[in-house]
Amino acid sequence: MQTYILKRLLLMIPTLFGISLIVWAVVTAAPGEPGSQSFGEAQTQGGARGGESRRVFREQFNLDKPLFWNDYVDLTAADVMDRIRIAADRARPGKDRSEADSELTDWGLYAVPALIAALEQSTDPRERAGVLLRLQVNAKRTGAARVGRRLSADEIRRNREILAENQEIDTRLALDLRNASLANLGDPEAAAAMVRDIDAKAALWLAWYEGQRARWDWAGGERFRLRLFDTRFAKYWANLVRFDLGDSHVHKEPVLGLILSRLPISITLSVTSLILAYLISVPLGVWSAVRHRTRREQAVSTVLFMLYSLPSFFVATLLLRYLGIGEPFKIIPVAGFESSDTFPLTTWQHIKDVAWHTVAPVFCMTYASFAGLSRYAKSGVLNVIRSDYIRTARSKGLSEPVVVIKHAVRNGIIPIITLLGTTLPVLVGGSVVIESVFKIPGIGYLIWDSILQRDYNVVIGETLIVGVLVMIGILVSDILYAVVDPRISYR
Amino acid sequence: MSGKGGSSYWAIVGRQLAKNGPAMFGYRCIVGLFLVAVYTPVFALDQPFYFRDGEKSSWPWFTALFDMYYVRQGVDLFFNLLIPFLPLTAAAFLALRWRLRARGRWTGKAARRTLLAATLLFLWTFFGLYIPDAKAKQTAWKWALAPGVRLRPSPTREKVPDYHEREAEARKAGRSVHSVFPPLPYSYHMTRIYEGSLPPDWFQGKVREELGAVAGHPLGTDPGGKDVLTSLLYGTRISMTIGVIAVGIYVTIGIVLGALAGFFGGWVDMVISRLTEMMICFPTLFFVLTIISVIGSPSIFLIMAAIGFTGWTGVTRLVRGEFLTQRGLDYSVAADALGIPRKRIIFRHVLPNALTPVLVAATFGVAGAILTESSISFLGLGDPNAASWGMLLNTGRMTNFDWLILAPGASIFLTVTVFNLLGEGLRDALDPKLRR
Repeated sequence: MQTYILKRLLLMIPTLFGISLIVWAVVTAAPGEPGSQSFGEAQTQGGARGGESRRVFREQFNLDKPLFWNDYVDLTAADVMDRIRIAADRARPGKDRSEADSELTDWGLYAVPALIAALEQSTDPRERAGVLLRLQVNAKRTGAARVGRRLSADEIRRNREILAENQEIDTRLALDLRNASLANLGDPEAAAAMVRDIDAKAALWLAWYEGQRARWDWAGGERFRLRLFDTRFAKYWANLVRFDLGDSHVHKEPVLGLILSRLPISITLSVTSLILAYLISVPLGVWSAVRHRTRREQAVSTVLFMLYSLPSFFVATLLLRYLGIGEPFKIIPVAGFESSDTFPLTTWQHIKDVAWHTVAPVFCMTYASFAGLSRYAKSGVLNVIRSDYIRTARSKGLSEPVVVIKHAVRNGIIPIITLLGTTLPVLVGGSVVIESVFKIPGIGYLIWDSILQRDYNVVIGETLIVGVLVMIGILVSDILYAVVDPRISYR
Repeated sequence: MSGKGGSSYWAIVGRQLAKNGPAMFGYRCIVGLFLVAVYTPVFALDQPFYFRDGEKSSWPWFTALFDMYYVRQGVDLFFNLLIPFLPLTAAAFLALRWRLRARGRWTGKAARRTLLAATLLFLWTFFGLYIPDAKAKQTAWKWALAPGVRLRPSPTREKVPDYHEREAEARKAGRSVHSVFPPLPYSYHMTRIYEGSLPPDWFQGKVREELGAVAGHPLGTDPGGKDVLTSLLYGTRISMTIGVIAVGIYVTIGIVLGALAGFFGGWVDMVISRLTEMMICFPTLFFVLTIISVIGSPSIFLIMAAIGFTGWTGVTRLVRGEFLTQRGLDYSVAADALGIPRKRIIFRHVLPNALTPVLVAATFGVAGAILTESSISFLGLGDPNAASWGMLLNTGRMTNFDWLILAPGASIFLTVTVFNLLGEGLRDALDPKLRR
């Protein structure tokens, strides 16, 4: 037994790794920008935040970095010149141009030495102007930014430095574009002024680079480290190991904390409905097995079958419509996990209040799973009730209840413990719908809301956490199974 | 598996199924649903079968059905094409059978070939009509290959006219006009705000007094003025497609992975089993939602693909287990001993036996996929251009109109029920212990 549990626990490690890998694959497989098309009602609220949310998402998952092997470290002047030419060439299709432009942006600081080299090599003032404009974007560093946590003094100092540096780029090193449109129109004087400005700024940039050179002068080992570790893949794992799932830009707090704060509500609901489902389905299943093929049993089976096929979101909608809004009844609360103002309530009243709010959601989450479970319980008991040892027990003259409860049920019911493993994901998945309908602020509601608000970090972080939780649930159910049924031997 | 001499396995299963009343009911309902999905435009379309304005007469219904500028959705084009294809194929099939039988040359092979030819012809036409013009022009071969491209009207054509408007105009101008519309002269993607939120014709109660009612909407309209019954009918297409395609994808993946794991064992089995264990940890609905949100365009095909690529774990486990059992059975050991090549053992001996439980899983899977898609649309995260039942129910939840809640909810419930009934019946029929 101990070896089995130990083995299962050890197997958890590769599974955990695999779960994270699958989530990473989903993030990476996203073609281009996520959320380029908005969802129905989110169009208005999400639209404005779309750009910001994409930026936060890209930053968290380093979507600007290469996948496994960082070849940005060997960018050459030819590479950047090529992209700058494409981006500036109006004859090309817009898609190519914006692709080249975003590629340049993705290269970020890595492109600076190549841009400086291009500046030195090129003689055409137009090209040099393009390079200079790029430098103004790419040479800027971004400071540390975090939501909901304080920056350390060191980080603040660094941020100040970066800010000063960026301001310098924006003022002293920036190209003077006041003459640009005139020059484009063919004004020779403005064109000459432009060329003079370009030359002057190019000289300034070269001097700036001389001063900053050490930042790009990587030694061999350093260069290798960058190649291997400054990638999407490596950074993802580095973040995970530090339990950093990023920040939610909607809730302005770290994703992990946000999800953990919502988790108790969802777990309360799921566990309650799971316990209820097992409490109802086991006796019901045993009863149906004993009364197999009687008319009453068939009626109950039919009802269970219907319940099994009845979508829970439909039932939830019906409950809200006919029992929630006062036409004809107003029995159940319409939304929330508790009343809006719980402060004046005593503990007991508070518990009653929560129970009151969760009756309908728990009902919706329970009925479908107990319909399924009791059918399994029935077939489990039916399987053993025909076996020889039951016949023996009966022929010994044991009373029917003893035969059924002591002999048949104990063995027949074991298989439905394994169902815990499959019921759990279904419950968690179902909680999205139920929590969204009843507006219960658990993780199901959170992911729905985050998708609508395009809070991708939360969506991804939650998928990861739910995956891990379900994995633990399945592990527990497997171990339980092994504990209950000594016949199961694991090598 | 062919039915020569004695009764084959499938004949026994068929007989078992035929004895099961509820399962047969489910089966008939599914066939009925499929026919409804195909022949929906006969009942509901905003184009008249026949339209005569003065001297000019036209048949707009027949052209609109195959016009991608009107139909827009690939799913609809697919089913519209089935309207003529289904009876034509059946007729060709029967005629051929009759001819060949007279000469005694009708075999299972000939039947399969006929069906294959019909399917290929269908797909040829479908893709020809479906491929957007720009691409069709870039690749000249498509002109040669697909007859549909040639059938399609040129892209410069005006949009499909509103014949209700035309009729009214002609009446106003005093011309004689004659039109024959389907019983529900509406389309599911055309909004008519001035007919929004109408209760059904027969509806009684406060809402009716407040909102009034217009005849001709048996199940009322939604806030956008779309006829609810029309949306429901077209929703059948979406649900059937979702169910079949999503399950088709994951059953294929599941069979391949499960067969590999079960047959080869060793490290192949190890890798596939671990992968399955990992995928099981993600609740289907959760994972599909994540994929949709990250990819960002909730088209109906993406939803199908997402369900298909997440749902394969159950089938994989089933097929793997079945393969492990079958591999140990005497017949496959004997086949091995006879020196039959592995490929042949897999495809001719083990696979057909392993597939029976998959059939049951697939039938339940269709119900599950329909539920998943409805949940997604219900949450407002589905394809806004598809007439999904879940989306309609979502509108009902927002507006609290009874007809918008009950009609789509009942549709989902009934469809899921009939698939579950059939699945249940199949399971019983395949279980030798329950054989009667």
